[in-house]
Amino acid sequence: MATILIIEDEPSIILILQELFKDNGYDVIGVNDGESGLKQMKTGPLPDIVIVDLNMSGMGGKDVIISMRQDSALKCIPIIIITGTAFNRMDFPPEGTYQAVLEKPFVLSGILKKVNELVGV
Amino acid sequence: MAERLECLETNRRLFIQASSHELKNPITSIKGITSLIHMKLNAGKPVSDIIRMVEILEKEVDRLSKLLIEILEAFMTERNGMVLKTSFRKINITEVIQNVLKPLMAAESGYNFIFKTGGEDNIYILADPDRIGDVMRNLYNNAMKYSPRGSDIITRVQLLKDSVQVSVEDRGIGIPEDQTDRIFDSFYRGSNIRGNDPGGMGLGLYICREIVKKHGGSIWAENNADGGSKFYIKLPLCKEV
Repeated sequence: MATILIIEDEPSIILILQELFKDNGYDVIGVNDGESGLKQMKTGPLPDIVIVDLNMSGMGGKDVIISMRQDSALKCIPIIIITGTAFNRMDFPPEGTYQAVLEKPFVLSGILKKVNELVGV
Repeated sequence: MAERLECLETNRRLFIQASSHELKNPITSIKGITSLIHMKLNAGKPVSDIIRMVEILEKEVDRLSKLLIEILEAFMTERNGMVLKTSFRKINITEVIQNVLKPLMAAESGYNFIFKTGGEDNIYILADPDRIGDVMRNLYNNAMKYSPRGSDIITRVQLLKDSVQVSVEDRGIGIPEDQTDRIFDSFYRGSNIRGNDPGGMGLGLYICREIVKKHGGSIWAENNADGGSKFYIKLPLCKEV
């Protein structure tokens, strides 16, 4: 069973994604800031895919992605960005460091399809 | 004149960006929950699962509604000045603060901040308790938004000669020194938060200032020497015995 790590500071969005992916056979871990996300990846089981919000208190998604790509254990994990500020490219990590961007409000079937593609289901 | 127009245009642009970001989160939740309910109904999931989703949906609709009310209130206040709907009454400022803090301090809130309070009790002011509560809630929300999780947020109530001074101190990112006044302007957001922006429309402190002014008081902010910021409100004491 593939594991998804969700890093998002909106509790309701974590809950919705957890419900969606659990109902579709995934293991899901949700954390609400970038530091906790990196800690989870370094101390817990490696996720098969990471879904990360860009704008969060403390460490944002951009820094999480840059840190992941500099870490040999995490640099190959596929990443989906979810963001409400797709127009603000300053918040984005360099191109090529992530696999997909979904702009809020996203469609649940769309994010499920994208995860299935990237995990190879 | 040109500088003023440029400033207005910058604020307008920042407001559109910030408000669209703020509104997108509850809209994402509402859209997601309605899809989930549909999926769960189709999959024959138990009613208890669906009821939980409906409860979250209600909360998200409330949040969206509050954001829209905040935007409307800011525009109305800019045009006509702050209008308070209820008349003032004698209130204990410490009780107002405790009522605001209670849900934030509850373990189930998940906020994980250490709220400390100190100073004097039983200080009475003539005020609209709901709106003074709004001011305090806004100050705490800002402190939590821009401070590391688990850090201290300290409230002090100090009796002055004919007023009470309440301060809220955090261990957050602080305020650029040249912007401690401007953060109370409508649609203004500190330049040091635009990197890892946790969200906000730049309206909360503006509305706080207008509420406090309407009570005959003042609000201001300072940076702590050892990091973080400190927000003060000063309100006249109730003269009745």
